[in-house]
Amino acid sequence: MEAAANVFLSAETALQELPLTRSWGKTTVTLEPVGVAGLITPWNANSFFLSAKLASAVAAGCTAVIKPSELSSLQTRAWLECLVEAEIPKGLCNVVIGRGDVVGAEIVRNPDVAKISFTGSGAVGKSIMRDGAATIKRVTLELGGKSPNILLDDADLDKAIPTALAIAFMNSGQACVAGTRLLAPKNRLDAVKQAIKKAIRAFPAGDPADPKIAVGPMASQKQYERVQSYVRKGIE
Amino acid sequence: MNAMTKSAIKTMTAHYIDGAFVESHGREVMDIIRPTDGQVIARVTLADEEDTRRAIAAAKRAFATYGRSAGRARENLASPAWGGRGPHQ
Repeated sequence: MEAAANVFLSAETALQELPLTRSWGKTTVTLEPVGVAGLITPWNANSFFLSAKLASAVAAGCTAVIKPSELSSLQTRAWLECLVEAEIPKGLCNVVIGRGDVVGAEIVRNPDVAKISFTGSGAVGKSIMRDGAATIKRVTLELGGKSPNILLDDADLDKAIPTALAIAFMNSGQACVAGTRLLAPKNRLDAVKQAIKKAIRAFPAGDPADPKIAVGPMASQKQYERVQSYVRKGIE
Repeated sequence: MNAMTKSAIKTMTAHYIDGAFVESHGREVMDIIRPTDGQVIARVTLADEEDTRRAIAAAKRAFATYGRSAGRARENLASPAWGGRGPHQ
C-alpha cells in the first residue's frame, strides 16, 4: 500500500521535471492529454497497478475508467475508499468491476476512450490491440513474463541460489517479474540442482499469515491449475 | 473453525461513477473466495456494458474541464486535496 501511495508522489515529481513544450528550430512540440484512459489491471498486485496507472493518467491530464480484476474486488474497494477520502475530483476516476469480455470489451471498443493501458495475459493483450484498432486506440500493454535469471559460471551458489529462489517465489510466484526460470552453465548443472534441492527447504508452502511461509495459496482455482500444469511439464 | 472465518459475507453491489457509488445495472453476482480456505467472503455484483458506458461518459465529461492541458494536470496533481506538496516546493 505504501508503494501504491508513493507512485502519486513520483508522478508529481516527474511532472515537475518534464518539459511540456520542446522546440527545435521552427518546430515546437507540446504534450497534451489524449482524453479518457481505460485502465485494465490484474489481480496479482492490484492496489499498486491501480495507483500506478491512475497516477500516470492523472499526471498526463487524462481522466480514467478503471476495470480492476474482479478477483481483487475487496482490495479495490479499500483502495477506492482511500481515494474518496483524499477528495479525488468528481469523474476523474471511475471504477467498474466486471468481466474482461464484458466491461473490458466495452472499454476497448468505445469511441470515447482514447487510450488503453493493460497489464495481463498475452492472449488478452493481442485482442485489445486488434479490437482497439477499430477506433485507433493508443495502446500500452504489459504482458505476462517468464523472466529468466542468468547464473554466471563463476557464481557463488550458496548466495546465488537462495536469491534466485527468493525472486522466483516472490508473491508466491504470481508476478510478471518473478524469476521463474534459471539459466545455468551446463558444466555446473549438477551442482546447481543440488544447491536448489538444499535451498528450497527455506521456501515452504502453507498459510500466508505465517511469517515462515514463502508460498501461499494461488489466487484462484484457475491459477492453481495453471501452476500444476507447469509442475507436470517440469516433471515430464 | 474460528469466529473469524465465519464472519459475515461482504456484499458489494455498486460501482464508483462520477464521484459516487452507484448501484450496478449489471445483475450477475460473483462469489469472492478466500484462497486460504475456499470460503466465500464476499459477493460482488458485476458491471455490464451499460455501467461501463456510464463510467466512460462520466470520464468524458470530467475531461472537458479537467483535461484542458497537461499544465492543468500539473496543478491538479499537486493540489493539497491530493496530498500534493504544491508546485513550488
